[in-house]
Amino acid sequence: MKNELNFINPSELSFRLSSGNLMELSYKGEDMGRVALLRMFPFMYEDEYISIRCENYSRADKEQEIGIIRSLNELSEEQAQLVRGELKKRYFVPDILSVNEVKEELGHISWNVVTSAGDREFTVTDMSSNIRSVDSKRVMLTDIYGNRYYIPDVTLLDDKTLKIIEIWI
Amino acid sequence: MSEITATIEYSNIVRRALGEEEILIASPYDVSQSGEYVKGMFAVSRTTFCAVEDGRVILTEKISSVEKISCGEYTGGGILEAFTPCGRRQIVRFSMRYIEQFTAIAEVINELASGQEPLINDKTFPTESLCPRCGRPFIRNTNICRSCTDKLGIIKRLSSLAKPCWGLYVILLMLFWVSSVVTVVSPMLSKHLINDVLNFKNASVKTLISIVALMLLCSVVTWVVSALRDVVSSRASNRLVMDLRNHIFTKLQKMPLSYIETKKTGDLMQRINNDTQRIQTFIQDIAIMAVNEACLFVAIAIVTFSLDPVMSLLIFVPMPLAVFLVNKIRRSIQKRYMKQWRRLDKLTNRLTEVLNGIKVVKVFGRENDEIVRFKETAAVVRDITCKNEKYVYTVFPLIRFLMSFGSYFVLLYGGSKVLGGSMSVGELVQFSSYGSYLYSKLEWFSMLPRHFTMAVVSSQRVFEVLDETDSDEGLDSVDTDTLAPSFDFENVSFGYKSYRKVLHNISESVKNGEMIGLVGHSGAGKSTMINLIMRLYDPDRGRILLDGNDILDYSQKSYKELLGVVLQESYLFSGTILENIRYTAPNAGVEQCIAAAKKANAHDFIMQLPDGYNTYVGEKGYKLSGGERQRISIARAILANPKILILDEATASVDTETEQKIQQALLNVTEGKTVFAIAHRLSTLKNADRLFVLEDGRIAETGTHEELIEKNGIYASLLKAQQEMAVSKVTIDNTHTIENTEKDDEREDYENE
Repeated sequence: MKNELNFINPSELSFRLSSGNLMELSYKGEDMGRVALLRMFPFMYEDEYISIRCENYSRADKEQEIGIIRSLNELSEEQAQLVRGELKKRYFVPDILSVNEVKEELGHISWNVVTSAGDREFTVTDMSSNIRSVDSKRVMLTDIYGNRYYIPDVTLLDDKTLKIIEIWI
Repeated sequence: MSEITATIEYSNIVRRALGEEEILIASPYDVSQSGEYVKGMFAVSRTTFCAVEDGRVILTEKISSVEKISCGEYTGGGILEAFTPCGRRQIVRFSMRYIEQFTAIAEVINELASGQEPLINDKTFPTESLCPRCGRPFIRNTNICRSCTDKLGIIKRLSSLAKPCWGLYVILLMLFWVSSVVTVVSPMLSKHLINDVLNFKNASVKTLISIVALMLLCSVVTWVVSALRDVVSSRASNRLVMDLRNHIFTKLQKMPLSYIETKKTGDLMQRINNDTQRIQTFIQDIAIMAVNEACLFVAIAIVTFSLDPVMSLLIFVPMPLAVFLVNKIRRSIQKRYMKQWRRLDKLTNRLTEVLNGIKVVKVFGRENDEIVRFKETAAVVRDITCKNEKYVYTVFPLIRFLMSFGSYFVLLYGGSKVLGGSMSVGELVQFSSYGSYLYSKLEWFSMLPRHFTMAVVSSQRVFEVLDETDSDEGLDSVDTDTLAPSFDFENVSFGYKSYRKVLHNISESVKNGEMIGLVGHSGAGKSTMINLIMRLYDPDRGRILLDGNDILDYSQKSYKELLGVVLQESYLFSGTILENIRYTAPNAGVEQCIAAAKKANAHDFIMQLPDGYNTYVGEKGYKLSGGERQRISIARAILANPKILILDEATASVDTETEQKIQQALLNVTEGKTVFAIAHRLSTLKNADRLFVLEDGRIAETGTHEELIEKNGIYASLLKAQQEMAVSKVTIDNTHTIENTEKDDEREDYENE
């Protein structure tokens, strides 16, 4: 049934990385080609409820879900690693590890940070919309271009960073 | 390495990688294949594309080896992918900063791959502007660098706006000088009063009276000057702010819809109201006072140094330290209050949301959960506020102490001089007065940079709007009077965000007097096409020709005069019905308006209203139904007598009976005009000369209603789906009626029993 949750039997799945570094899938023995993997609850379950979709997923009228992986734990380690790699690519949201400086100039807040993807300088405007507390520990920042930066646990940041960002988060 | 240096350095490597061919298009990128930040450059020549990363060429490929390139948008970034005969391949990754550039690059490579001449200009390839001084990107869509903003330049520009009332400013300056003189003279009189009268054994009553009279005169002059100063400065600043508000509003009216839609209404209103208000406050209360105080500061410095340089140093030397300490404390207070403000903002938002959605809360019985959530947020606000207030109440007395610190040195040094006989008591009092006055103003002076920055930000926000290029750029070289509107769409592509195309390569012709119905699923691009025809947006690529000329060559004004529009939701402004009908033709006579209302099937309902055509409608006026508002807007269109008519879901929000009336009215308007119509109910477009069926932003089918039914394609299936839905609705309605009748019968039986 189209409207029912279609949880996929992991034994029927086989992901592979194409020679062009793109995620492809064989499902029930059928080659599905390039597929998109999307988190259904990106802030709640990073490794659970992963929707596998045909590549034209972004167009509302062409949306087509092949099925849902309930948890990556159901997959073999090798398959789960492949999926995690693809999700990391699709959700390019580096973690902020420490903050060197935050400066406000004319309503633009410049952040100089060290992230899991390297050093970065970015600018945030409209604080109330773009610095968002996901919960008491997690914070999501969105810069002027729409890039995202994530603080997975504020309490784990070093004291210097905490002091700098205290008023902004 | 700064971005600009990297760009210049990489361009040589890129040129070599492309075999010294001319670079057609290039963009930096910032994410490696493995998801680390890098400094990369991607460039395309006529035959080749290449990527350079951290100074190394990581990819060089012939365009002929790819079939197609696509640019995918992911969360926080994108990927350029190549389709080759051997399969698909990831080429480069980039953050959202470069998504527009890579969308354009993909199109250019695709055009080159298919042998077309690529179209590259500022519009198709949005270059990211970088500040030539610091290399940081400008604030989007502006040439403002947040780091290198010339704050003085902005104030200079603001002052240039004050030119029309320079006379008032000259008067103000003179008043300042009078006020400064009086402030300097007053302590001198005190000195004479103490030395020559109170401390002088043979002092005459006449001297006493004359000194007191002079002191009284000083007070009167101070009062008169300060009253005059306030009146003049208020007049000058109000005039300036009125001019600014008028400029912004005029500018906004001329701006393209794309600009206004990218700004929040609240933000624009804030610029017109709050920012200009802040500028006014700055000019009236801060800048003018700052000039006054600066004059006074210089005057007092001259007087005190001429009297006793050492004691003057005791007043002036501790000042920088006091200002530094006060600023440091204030900054920490500000930070604390900002945190409090953010939490309070959260609380207010929650409150607004719950009150707006109170019906939902009550219907689902969630009152207690909302109370708990509100209490939790309120407790956080309480904790932060208590903490902040405790801090403020502790440090504010410290600030006050710091402010009066210098006067203790003066008293100590001056007192010892009085005791030694080298200074009179009157002179000590005079010095002490100057010191107290200056220190009392220190706190105000230490706030000056903050006020200054706030005024600069507000001015910049205002100037940002004023500096935008408005949409009225047409040359008006085309005569619209003799125009017979025929349209040619030439490869028109458009997206509200350039990397998310809504229309792709639309090419069609529409004859003069033809009625075109636009149909398709929601999101197919119908309204977007209408928006382009109405020139609310301009195509990203391709052209729309009206009578052989690009519509962009017409001035907005003359083009809009050709258009008549009836939208789904007709907006009536506050005013009478007559004024609303006349909105498009303010000089139309009342009889013309009545004729238009009659043609629009509006006359009869207007006459049933208590004040006829003078009935006040709009926000706080008489509430008209959707159908009635619609007919007034049709009357508006009839009165304007446009050559081109746009009907965007004109009958979507009304019942069947009203729809018939509106349809009838529309027939009167459309006659002899070139018409573009969108209608939810496909049956209403039966009479169109041709239908354009849009699918995924492309015209998938064209033809008359009959031709398209015969074709049995998308239109036929849309029509079938709609008919089936109508049948099932009728069935449900009938079942409902039967059930109700049965229930009524049951009730009657029961009552009879």
